[in-house]
Amino acid sequence: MQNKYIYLGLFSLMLSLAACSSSNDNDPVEPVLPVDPPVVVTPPPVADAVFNVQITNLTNAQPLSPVGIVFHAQGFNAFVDGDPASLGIEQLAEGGSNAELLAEAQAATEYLVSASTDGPVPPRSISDVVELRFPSDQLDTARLSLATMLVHTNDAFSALNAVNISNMEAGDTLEFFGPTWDSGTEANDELGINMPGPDFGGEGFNSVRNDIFDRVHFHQGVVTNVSVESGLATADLVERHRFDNSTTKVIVTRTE
Amino acid sequence: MNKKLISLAVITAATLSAQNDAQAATLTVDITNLTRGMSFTPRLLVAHNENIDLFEPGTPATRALAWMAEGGVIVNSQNAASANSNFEYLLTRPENIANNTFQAFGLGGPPLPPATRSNSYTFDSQDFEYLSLVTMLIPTNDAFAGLDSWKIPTEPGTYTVTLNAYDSGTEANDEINATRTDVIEGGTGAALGGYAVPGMAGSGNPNATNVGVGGTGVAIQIQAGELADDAEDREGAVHIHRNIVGDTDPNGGISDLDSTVHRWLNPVARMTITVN
Repeated sequence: MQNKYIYLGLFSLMLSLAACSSSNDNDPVEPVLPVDPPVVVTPPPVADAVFNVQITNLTNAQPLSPVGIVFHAQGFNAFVDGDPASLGIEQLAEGGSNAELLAEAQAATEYLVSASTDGPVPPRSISDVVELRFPSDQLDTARLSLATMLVHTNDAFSALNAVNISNMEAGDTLEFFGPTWDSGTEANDELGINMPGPDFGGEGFNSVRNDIFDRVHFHQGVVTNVSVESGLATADLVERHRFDNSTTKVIVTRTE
Repeated sequence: MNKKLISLAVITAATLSAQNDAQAATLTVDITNLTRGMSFTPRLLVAHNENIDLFEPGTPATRALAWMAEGGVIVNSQNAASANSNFEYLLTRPENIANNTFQAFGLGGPPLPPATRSNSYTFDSQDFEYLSLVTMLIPTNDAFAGLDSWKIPTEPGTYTVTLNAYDSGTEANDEINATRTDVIEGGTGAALGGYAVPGMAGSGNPNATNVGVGGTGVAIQIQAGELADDAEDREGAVHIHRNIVGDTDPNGGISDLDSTVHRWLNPVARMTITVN
């Protein structure tokens, strides 16, 4: 609003200057400052674009931590393949907390709105509907990102990374499938003492970064103790914890 | 706390207006098996509206889906015992018949082998908006490749979609060869294989190659010659299949599948769909 007043003020000033100079070419004229108060223009209220987001956990035995959901303008990325994870992604992927990730998003200039599912999404189930809204004049460049930890892992997470929802009209539904990343921040030892959740209750977030390399990359799947030939004998993960992509299905519906 | 699926309600609202301009479309469809070691049972192709869903990840399977995923059975002619619960039955029920049109492809022929593209199927989708397909992966307990309510484009052209492998959640993944005679179902004494029985249907099919014997069981284990697939052993709802485990011992180990032959990663199939 402040900017608009200033613009209007300058505009009237320029108009008055132009008027003065054209009618008095040879006379030195003191510039006349406008005396009118700034014109107050009340912009028509911008209606909200309203979205319902619902997440299906496609895994057999991996609870999903509370899903952090963000609408933002093009240009923001919660993570970049091949780059080190932010602290927010590290805390989410190791410990299942989305608080820092959402705080990072809120601090970005591209931020529009964010929310979290009420709680974890159990395996083979569909989450509650989460409603989010932002002014519809922001829709042109709007993107959707979300992330959630596969809880029975060291640091796996399923995500959507800035998918384009800007073309959605009221009534439209889009479906996305989330692949699985490794945050690159914790070694995949598959030990219960290093994995949280109902099956293990081990440690979640630890700021030490001890993965093979400290970069976000696609997860290669858990190894587990199931197979004599190709397994990891020391793993506490078992056959049922395995997963293949996709690990989440996301239904996005614009209702208004 | 609305546990209800939002998709159906919203799609209903969205499609009321679209229904008028939907055109009867003839589709030409083929499917490519992208796997190294799985074959596809007869393919069920269904054009439908928002009132029918062949499967929905995160929710329990219908009996019709279990017949397809556990035994590859979709129509009566394949198995008379399925007549009151297979997809032919479900899709022709009075409450469903106006909501879909369907056709089975590959009946009577061999399953579609690994790394093979099918013939072209001609399919009249009438004026239905969505296309779905299911086909069982053999040899497995209850894996299937699924296309879930793909919106048929109104623009003529050729489209490509890829399919993931799902687990119907109706049978434990024991990975036991159903042709084995040294194992029976616990409790019933029934032979293995097929709908509602442990063991992998299709183990004896000539296209289901490299199936071994002597495995002790993966998700559940054989005990004294019996294999019991109790309710708590089944996953309970449709989800993305976690892939088979297998082993490299054709006469023992935990699995009768071969880990160097039968494993896959998604996607497992590609469909090309031409809207004429």
